[in-house]
Amino acid sequence: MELHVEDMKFGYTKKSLVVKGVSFSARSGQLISLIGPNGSGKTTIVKCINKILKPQSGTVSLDGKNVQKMQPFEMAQCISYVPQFTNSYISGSVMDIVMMGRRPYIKWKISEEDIEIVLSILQELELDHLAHEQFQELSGGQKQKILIARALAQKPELYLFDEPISFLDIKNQIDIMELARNMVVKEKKAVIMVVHDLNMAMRYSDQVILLKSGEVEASGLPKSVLNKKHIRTVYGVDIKIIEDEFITPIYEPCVN
Amino acid sequence: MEMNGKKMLKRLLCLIMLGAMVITLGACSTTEAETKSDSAKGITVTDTMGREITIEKPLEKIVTYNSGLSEVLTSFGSEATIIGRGDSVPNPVLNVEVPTVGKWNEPNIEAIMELKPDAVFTYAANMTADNETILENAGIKCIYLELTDVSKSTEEVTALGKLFGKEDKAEAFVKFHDKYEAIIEKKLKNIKEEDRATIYYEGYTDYKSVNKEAGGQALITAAGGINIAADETAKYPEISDEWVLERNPDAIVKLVSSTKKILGTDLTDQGAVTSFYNTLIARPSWGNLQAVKDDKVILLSSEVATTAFGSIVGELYIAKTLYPEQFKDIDVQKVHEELQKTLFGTDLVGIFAYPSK
Amino acid sequence: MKMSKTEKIKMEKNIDQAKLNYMNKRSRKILFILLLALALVVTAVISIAIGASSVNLKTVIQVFGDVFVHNESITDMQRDIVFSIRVPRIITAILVGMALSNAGLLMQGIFQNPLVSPYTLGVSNGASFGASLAIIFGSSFAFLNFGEFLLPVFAFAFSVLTMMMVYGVAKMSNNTSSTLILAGVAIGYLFSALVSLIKYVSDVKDLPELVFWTMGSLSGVPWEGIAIIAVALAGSIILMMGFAWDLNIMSAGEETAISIGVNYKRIKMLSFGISTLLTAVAVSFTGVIGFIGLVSPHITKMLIGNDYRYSVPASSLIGALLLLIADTIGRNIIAPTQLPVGIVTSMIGVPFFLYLIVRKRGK
Repeated sequence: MELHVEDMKFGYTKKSLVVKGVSFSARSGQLISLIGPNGSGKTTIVKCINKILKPQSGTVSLDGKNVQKMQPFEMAQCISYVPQFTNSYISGSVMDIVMMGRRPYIKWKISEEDIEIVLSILQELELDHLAHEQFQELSGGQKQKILIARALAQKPELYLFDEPISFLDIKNQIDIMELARNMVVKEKKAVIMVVHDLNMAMRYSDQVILLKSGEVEASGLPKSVLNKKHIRTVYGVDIKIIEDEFITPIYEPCVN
Repeated sequence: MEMNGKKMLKRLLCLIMLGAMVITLGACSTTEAETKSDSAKGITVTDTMGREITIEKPLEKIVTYNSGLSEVLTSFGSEATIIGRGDSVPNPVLNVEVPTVGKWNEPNIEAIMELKPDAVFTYAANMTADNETILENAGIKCIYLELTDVSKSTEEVTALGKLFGKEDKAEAFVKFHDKYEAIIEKKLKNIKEEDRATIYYEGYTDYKSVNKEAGGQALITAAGGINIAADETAKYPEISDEWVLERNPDAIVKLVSSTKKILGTDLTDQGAVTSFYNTLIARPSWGNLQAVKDDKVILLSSEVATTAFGSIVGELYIAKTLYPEQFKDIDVQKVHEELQKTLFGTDLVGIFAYPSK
Repeated sequence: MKMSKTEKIKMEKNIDQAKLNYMNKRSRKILFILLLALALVVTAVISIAIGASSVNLKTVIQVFGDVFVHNESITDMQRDIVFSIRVPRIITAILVGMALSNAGLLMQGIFQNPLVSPYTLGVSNGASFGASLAIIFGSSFAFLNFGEFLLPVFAFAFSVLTMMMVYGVAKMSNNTSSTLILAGVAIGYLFSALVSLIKYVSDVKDLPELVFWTMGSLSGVPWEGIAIIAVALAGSIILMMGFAWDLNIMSAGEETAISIGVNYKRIKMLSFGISTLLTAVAVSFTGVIGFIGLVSPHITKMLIGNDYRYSVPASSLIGALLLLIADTIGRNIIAPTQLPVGIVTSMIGVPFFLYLIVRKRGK
């Protein structure tokens, strides 16, 4: 699978663009992190990829096919998305929520296969004991995992995660990043993820796209993108990079 | 309160004209009033609330929030005493605009005081004790002659006759009323208690009936009927349709509000009444009711069912519906025409009951 | 993921077990719906057997038997009480209960707000305005020749007009749920002010009829009216069941819904349209019956969950049950006087609802 984003432009009003011509590509087996300050257009880019927003110009193509021209279910079978904030009103059992991900495949009646798919996803994520719990009664970390399970149930080639770990504790953060990593390495899927945590991005990404006010400031391997100079220009913050024994640098802001 | 000039001028003109009228009228009636004043020092009547009202001389300027009262005054020829009216009271005098002083149930105290009447007539429920004190202190009598209880109509009309110095006119009505009431009573004597007819009495709203405390009861009793809903808890109960069917009343009385433009003064469209009547008797299973089979269903205009003057006609209509044999010598329509002549000296125009009796 | 053969077998077993669990849950829901349906049938039988007249279960059975084998002892009146009074009334209660309940279910779904009812957007105010025009100025509209349908037609027209105004205003703004609610509440107030104005200027003789209408009544709905409600309800239920999945996914929010391939805007419009239609037809023939549309969806969610495939039939049945029980009580408690159904609905519905809330908390 290959995704090409070419010269994507988007603005909520005609005059001020939030995304000012962004191009990049992603293919199976890649975890790409979108990084940048608040308001730099990360979420907007993700929403433009799966048609939640319609870019004013530029194209998004999946294996050569323009996403804008795909049928809704066809697209949903290729791309799944976990938004930054999920509606707090969403309710139902865990099974119900994960089953929503099967919608692109079912007409009305759920087949046994659908049930099996949902249950095996829950089992893989070690969430099967929660299957009949009410979603609203779960912890934040569990909720996020269930929403990811819902995305998995869509069985797509490309996952879009918008800040999946921002409100989670360190254990859950690692769980989810490991999960994303697994999907890329073992299942050969592509993941595009919006993250704020530089350390996590460094540790888990294959590629990093650093954004500044709707434009790509730098992209490429994490190590080459996430350097002092870039971070200084994008965030206006000085950082200290500590190289540890695993050769994964640790970022620490310098505060005077 | 701000008022634009035009309005002010209009008001002023009205007042001047009224003032002029009151003076001329006052001049006309002085002779009459004088003769009365030696016979009685001060006039005392009892109003609807049981209060004793004493005034020194007949009322010359009044404000009324009661449309029934204005009808009585019109028959007295005293309509010109009305210098202010509630919104439901029709303008009493042709070509003279009498100002309205608030909604029928919300007397505007300031407006009343501005007009400086001798007395104000309202429904008791709409006058607070405080307002009453204010008005009384300003020399304005608060009088409650509601004319809503048809069993008290003669007393109340008599009281009004005294208050306005028109005892003779009131007397004429009372005589007329009592004559026909006596006729009804006499005829009803021939009917044994156990032969009395049962009535399903329906107000303006479908299946809304009356219990023994409500206004309709007096009319039913006077006409020699038995109200099937007399013992219900609510004053105006919504009655069960199937219960009416099973009680199978001997007669059905349905009141029609004048606002429906079906029955009442100046309404003469037989078609509208007939179709209303046909819709009524076409209610589920009403064809099986004894009352419908015997043609003992009558539509009554609110003008003959709820007013002080008209209620005697309403009673006759009901009585004749219940006991056609006994009342076959009475042409109720004629009686109504006669009443109209007696009270107003005019011809009766309109349909007031259907089918006519 | 690499795993040993035994692990794999164990996992499959677990999945089989879980699948069984899931199926069980599903059958339990279906069973619950069947029980509700049974309860409704039983209530309907009780309801048809009691009333202000002496027609009882035995008479009712005889009357029904008479349809097939002529029974001499049955009078025309008994037949009419059963077929022209009780049966239509019970059917009306069931249909209107279903309509209001489903309208509420959809409204709460669209707005994702538990306080929303079919009347939140002013439908009832608009309908009341239409009804008051028909009641107070009915004689002026005689030329329309609607006869007894003048009031329902006016009530319906104005409730739909209200919705169009609300939707139009929201559309001119940013068209979010909160602007819709705000516009609805505001326009609702406008119409309720107009109703007050009409009340204020109208003759006192006409007021009782208007008050009576605003309290709601299930009696005297003509068969044509019942047929209209039934058709609207059947169409709505078919659509709601057909779009059950999409309606479920709506609750996850617009973005998620679109990403799953659901046409969020279309489903939202559809829900909006259906709930307006259901409320408008119900209100037009029976007046304003409150509470059912607010509470019945909540009771449904507490008892059976949010999945529309189950909550549509369940909320239909619960709404029908609530309204039928309330009306049966209203018809009989101080018979032959009838209590307005709206009063009884709240008096029995509120304690039951509060009990469910408390019980849910305790769990």
